[in-house]
Amino acid sequence: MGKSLNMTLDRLKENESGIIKQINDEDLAIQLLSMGFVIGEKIKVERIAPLKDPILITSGSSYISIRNADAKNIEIIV
Amino acid sequence: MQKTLKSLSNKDPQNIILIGNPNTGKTTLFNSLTGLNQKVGNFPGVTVDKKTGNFNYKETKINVVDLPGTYSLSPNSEDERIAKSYLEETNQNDIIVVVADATNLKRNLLLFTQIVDLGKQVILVLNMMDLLQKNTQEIDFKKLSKKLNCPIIPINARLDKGVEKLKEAVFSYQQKENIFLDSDSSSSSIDETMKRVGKINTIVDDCLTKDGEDKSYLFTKKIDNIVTHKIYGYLIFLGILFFIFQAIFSWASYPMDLIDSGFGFLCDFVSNILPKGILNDLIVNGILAGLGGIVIFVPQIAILFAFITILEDTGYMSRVSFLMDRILRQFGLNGKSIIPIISSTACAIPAIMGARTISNYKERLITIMVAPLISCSARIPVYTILIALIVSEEETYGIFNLQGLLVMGLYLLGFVAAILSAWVMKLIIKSKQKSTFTLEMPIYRTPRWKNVGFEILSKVKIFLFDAGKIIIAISIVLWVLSSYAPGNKFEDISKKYTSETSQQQYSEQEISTLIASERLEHSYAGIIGKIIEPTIKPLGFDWKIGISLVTSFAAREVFVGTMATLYSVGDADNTMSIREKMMAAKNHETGEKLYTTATTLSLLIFYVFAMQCMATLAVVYRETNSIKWPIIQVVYMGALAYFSSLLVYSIFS
Repeated sequence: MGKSLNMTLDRLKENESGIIKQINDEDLAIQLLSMGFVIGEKIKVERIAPLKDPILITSGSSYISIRNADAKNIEIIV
Repeated sequence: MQKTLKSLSNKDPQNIILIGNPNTGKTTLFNSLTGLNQKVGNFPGVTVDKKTGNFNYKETKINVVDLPGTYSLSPNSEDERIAKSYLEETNQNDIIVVVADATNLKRNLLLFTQIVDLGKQVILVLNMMDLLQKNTQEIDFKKLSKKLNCPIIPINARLDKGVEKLKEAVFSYQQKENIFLDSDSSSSSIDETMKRVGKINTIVDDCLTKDGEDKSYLFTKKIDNIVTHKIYGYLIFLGILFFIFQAIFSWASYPMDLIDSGFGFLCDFVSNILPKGILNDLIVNGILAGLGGIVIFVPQIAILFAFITILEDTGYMSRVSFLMDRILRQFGLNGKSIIPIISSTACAIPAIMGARTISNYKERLITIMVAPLISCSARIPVYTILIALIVSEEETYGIFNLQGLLVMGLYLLGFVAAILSAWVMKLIIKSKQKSTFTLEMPIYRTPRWKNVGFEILSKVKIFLFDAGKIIIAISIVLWVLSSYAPGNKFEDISKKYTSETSQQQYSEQEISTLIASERLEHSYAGIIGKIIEPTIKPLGFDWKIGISLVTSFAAREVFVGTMATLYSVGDADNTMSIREKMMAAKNHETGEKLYTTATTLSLLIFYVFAMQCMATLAVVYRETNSIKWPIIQVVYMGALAYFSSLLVYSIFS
């Protein structure tokens, strides 16, 4: 439990997933929301770029790329 | 708001405005609505492409505006800001057509509901119905339409299905009041958006009669495993670039030869039917020579734009951005800079405008500053002509065409220079703004050939007419400058050669050549070239090249036209090609061959680096909103060009 309390998206490996709990950056939250990433929904790391950054993530029918720096601001429940 | 506008509705033309998320097929719909009745302009004050067009339905003319793709009305990029402010200024009776991806309805409806709450008249278009069926999903449109209080038209823009129904819906549209979310609460933006999303989700779930599996991404993810692979990913990217450059040089040569001989025939024909004299000379050696030098490059430019459109249209370009982000970041750029960088190989102008999707100001500025260093299609004519002087068409290196390889080398050189310049600028320009890389990966689809065709057509049109106008004007000015001289200089030259001694020394043919070349040297053009000659002499250039450098500032491709005009003046019968004329050119001081390997390479390098494009500078000025950046650009690229050419010339001579 202790680990999942402050688990963030950047710590997931390829093909691992979680539930979006909170996004600690308002601009990022609105941008992600408008691109289909809703708090409370499932989020999955599809692929990590060859140089470990950025990453490809999916939620529902949305499939986007974000940087690790932003992924750090996405709290998830595993 | 509604006061007088409704009464005007009978006189006003009906406008519809297309808006939607990126990758929803908005452009395809725009093309099928308007066909060839479209034009690209600019939004007032900014240089975002504003596509406008029109169609007739039941004898009523309806105007269509295509806005840049946007995810929401809380804008994150320049493109989105423009779409938002344009929307806010539309008339009450303008109809906003929101184009949504039916397979991703929940997300696409966010923008729709925000527009409804702006108090606009809206029609919702659901595109990609074919994919919805593939996913075995079904939506109850009647129910959805009722819940959203808005007409819904399902379409398949690729197959033109439903487009007639949309026209009818626009034609018979009834204005009404509509509100989706009461925004009386002074809640923060994120809370409001969450509320909106919650309400949308409830409605969509209620109207989804059959929720199959979203299969459209399965195939896409499989391809991504290869295309973004740590080894294959980069290899595929390099392979594609290599293929494009080989194609430009081998495929394009057939239509180019055809155009070349066509113009040769035309020149002979016109020269024979018109009476000999100044007019004949102006048309054949001024206008036709300049024009022929331009039209011949249409095939190469068409091929290049075709490839770029296909790469963007299939969705591949987003993956390249993803692969390159980490690398480009080191140099002060962004993964999204790869699209401007690759587009720059066609033309820096759309590339610089395309940098608008980069939300970080510093990264966007650096992208704009270095984009013109990437070799554009206007350099192709220059490279082709110059390379042909030192390498013959048949020469190969292994299985590769040597000319193609050399051109690829020049492109690489421009690319490396751009990256290094970006790195230097990263160290100099200061910014505290956060940098992000949030980019949608669209599913892979076969390119929409109609879009590719439209894109090629519009780009070739711009090249031929916008650039062509300048080129023709410069060709005429050049012809005048090189056909006239101050005072009686020309008559003196003629007299000199009619004297008895020279009559005996030379044949008639030789005399006319000597007169022509001496005349050119003493003409106005010659005088200008001679003034700048001392500055460019260390680079191996003579005054004729000097004239070309001056005229190239209007646009690089003018170089070829200038060469054609300058060397035609000395060739009365106009029987040789530009290449042959340049091959035969002699240095006027030493009498040796002018285009030696050293001079040719030096000139090539000069064209790789120098900022010789007024149109690009104008766009940089508009995009950065400051005269400072275009000036810096001219100076740094000019210095880079001059010293690199100096270096190359001293090494090879």
